[in-house]
Amino acid sequence: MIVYLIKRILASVGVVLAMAFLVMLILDLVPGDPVVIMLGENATEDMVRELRRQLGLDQPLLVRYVQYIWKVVQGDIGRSVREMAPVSKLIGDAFPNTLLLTACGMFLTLLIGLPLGLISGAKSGSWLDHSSRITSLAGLCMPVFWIGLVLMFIFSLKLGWFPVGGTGSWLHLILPSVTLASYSVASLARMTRSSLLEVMGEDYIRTARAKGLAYRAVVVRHAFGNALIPIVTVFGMQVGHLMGGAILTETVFAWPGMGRLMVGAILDRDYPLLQGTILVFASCYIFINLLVDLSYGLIDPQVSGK
Amino acid sequence: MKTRLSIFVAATLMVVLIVPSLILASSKGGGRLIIGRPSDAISLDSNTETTAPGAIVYSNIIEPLVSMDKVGNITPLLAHEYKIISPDRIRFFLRKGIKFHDGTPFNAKAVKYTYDRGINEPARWKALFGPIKGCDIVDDFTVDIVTEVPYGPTLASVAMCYTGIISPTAAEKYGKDYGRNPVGTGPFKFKEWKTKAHITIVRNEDYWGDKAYLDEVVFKVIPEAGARMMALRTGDIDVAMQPTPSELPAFRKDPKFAVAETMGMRIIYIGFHTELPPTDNQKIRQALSMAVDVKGILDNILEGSAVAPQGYLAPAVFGFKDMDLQKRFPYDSKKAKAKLAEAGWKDTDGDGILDKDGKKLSLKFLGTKARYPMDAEICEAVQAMWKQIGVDVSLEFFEWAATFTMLRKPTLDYNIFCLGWVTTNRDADYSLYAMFHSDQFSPKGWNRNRYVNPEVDKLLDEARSSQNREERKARYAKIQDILADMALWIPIYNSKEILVINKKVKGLMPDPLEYILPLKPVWIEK
Repeated sequence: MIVYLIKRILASVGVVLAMAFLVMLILDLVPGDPVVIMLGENATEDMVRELRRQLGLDQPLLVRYVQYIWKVVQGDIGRSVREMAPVSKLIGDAFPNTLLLTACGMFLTLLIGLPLGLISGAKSGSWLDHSSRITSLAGLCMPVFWIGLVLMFIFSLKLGWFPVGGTGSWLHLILPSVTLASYSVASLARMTRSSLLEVMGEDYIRTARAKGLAYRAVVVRHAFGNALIPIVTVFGMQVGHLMGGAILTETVFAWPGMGRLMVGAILDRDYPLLQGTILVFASCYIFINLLVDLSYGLIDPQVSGK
Repeated sequence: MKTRLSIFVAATLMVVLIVPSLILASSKGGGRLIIGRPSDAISLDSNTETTAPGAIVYSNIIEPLVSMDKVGNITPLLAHEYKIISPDRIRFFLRKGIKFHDGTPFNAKAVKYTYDRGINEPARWKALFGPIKGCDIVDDFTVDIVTEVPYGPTLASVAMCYTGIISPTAAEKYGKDYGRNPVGTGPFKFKEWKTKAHITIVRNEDYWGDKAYLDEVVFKVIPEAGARMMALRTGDIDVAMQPTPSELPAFRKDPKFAVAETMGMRIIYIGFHTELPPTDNQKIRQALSMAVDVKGILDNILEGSAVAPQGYLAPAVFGFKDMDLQKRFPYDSKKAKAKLAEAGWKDTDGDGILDKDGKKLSLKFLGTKARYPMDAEICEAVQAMWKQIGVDVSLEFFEWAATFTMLRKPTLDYNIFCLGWVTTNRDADYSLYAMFHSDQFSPKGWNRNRYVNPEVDKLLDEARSSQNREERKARYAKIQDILADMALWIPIYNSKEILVINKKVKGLMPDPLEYILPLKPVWIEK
């Protein structure tokens, strides 16, 4: 188990390093010069050259990569060229907000998506199943920003229950979390349903039923445990999706998080900030995947036994 | 009897209703104003950051030596008087007894510190100030602002909000983080900044002049336009900046809100590359100008959120002259077609596209997307209008950062481009010199048309080096006449600065210059 863990962690570090290089390469290839954009309409050529030198952008790609990694290892992820503040401070301000939103989204996903899928799978063909399937299909199809605006229109403008956007209290958190979770709830419910249905067709379920166990007990004790692996996988992927979905949700609800920081960095060609945000996003994603992989060992003894 | 009674009732009602509201209206003090806007500031350092989201905030915190009123006159601010010593040197006499928000005394040293800082950093401020050389201290409360060469717009440049004087103590103390802790002499003080959420400023109780009425102003970031307008309706914000054009009619009808608008400084235009055939031909440019229905674009695409341009400059700019473009090149696709025929372009093979000597009339158009309101829609509409007269236009869009970089390069492989331009210091030199002097080809300046005319060069040089306002005005008028006839641009719209305001907020008006929003005279009715 420990060897497995170390291997997985080492592989994760490798992925982060490769990702950092890829980001730098892509930024190098896309048109749009950060210095020209920063200095605006009236910059002289001398000013452009000087600032490029100050930012180290006159160095070749590989040199910049090695310098960047070396600094990151020392704990310095650079200074935003556009926001004129350390990247660590900007991320430090924004990351807790995104984490909070994502956590609430995950919580809602589990709270609604899992029971919805279970009921739907256990009572397949019933009106409960049909209505939950239609609901989740709708959740998958509606774009996040649209759901956000509709919720805002109903619950903020018409009913006045929740604030329109921004942060401050737990009330601020409700609408963005629901918006963010809508897609994940739907996709987790669908996955749970199909995974459960698959297991329900197995021989041992028939045996359990044959020995006289109640249907409910069969679903909960025998089927659910065995259906869990694909569910956990999808849930892990949904966490990444939630973080990505945060970009749109944060924009609609004026939520000061990582998604908006990243989009701003892309539009302004703010290399250090973009590198930093992607580094954090990717690390989270890799970390969650690691957790998912490790949880297989707990759910299914066959995985850790290998 | 009846009439007498009703007069009495009406009179009583008037007393009961109006007198208290008069008393209330006269108490202007206090209150918190929340402004909703699409983007957060990048920095509040006036020497390095000059775009609107930052400038709107810090222009209430710092003050320049002089300011420019809405009709272009220079009025005193931190300097109570100025004197033109020579065309390259202007002397400013500073007010005494003023302190920065951190207690540092305001004096000649602080002015020099600010100017030195702006000049020594490779930042936007310097680029906006043309040939600025520096600031010379004459005595403790007298300074000279000096330029490398005689420079007519010096006063206009000194009056820019970016040229506000900052506290040297604060700048030294915070170093690179000064942009998050700005300190000036203005009517408001910086309080806090939560990145991408809000910036708060509070009234400066020790202000040297008339103090502000508001206790506090919050600049709240709400990126999504629909959400911003909803926040205004729910009362989460009191003012919405950059409102959605389609929602304006509803707000105009609503008695709870006021739509305040001013003709802005930004001109959005379609420009022609004058060295790349076939747009090197003046007749073709004129014909293309006549084929664009500017009024149709304003009515249908911009839905009243902008106004018809009167020239290459906005009317609020010093040196502006109405170019009469609607009379010079009235929208008439038949005449446009006839003009192209004069130049030899006819549809001989019947494919709907004009041709000449076996070559089709094809143009390459570098469009602009998501930079100015409705820019991409405008480019597409213009493309369609040209197609109607038989011109084949291939329109390409890139993301703004890429488009901007392409426009800054020495060569441009497009006949047509779309740009917006603000005369930031409100002096015609700022725009006309950078865009039409033959010495200003990209990347040095912004002569993206690659237009060369020795006569225009001479007039621009003369107007630039003079401090005589009447002389300068006459030269700019002549230049604008020449340019209009050359049909280098098709100005599409003149921006409108629009705010939707909750009616309890009084005294707030947008400024023609999108970079400032004076908050000192604003109060909230209780």
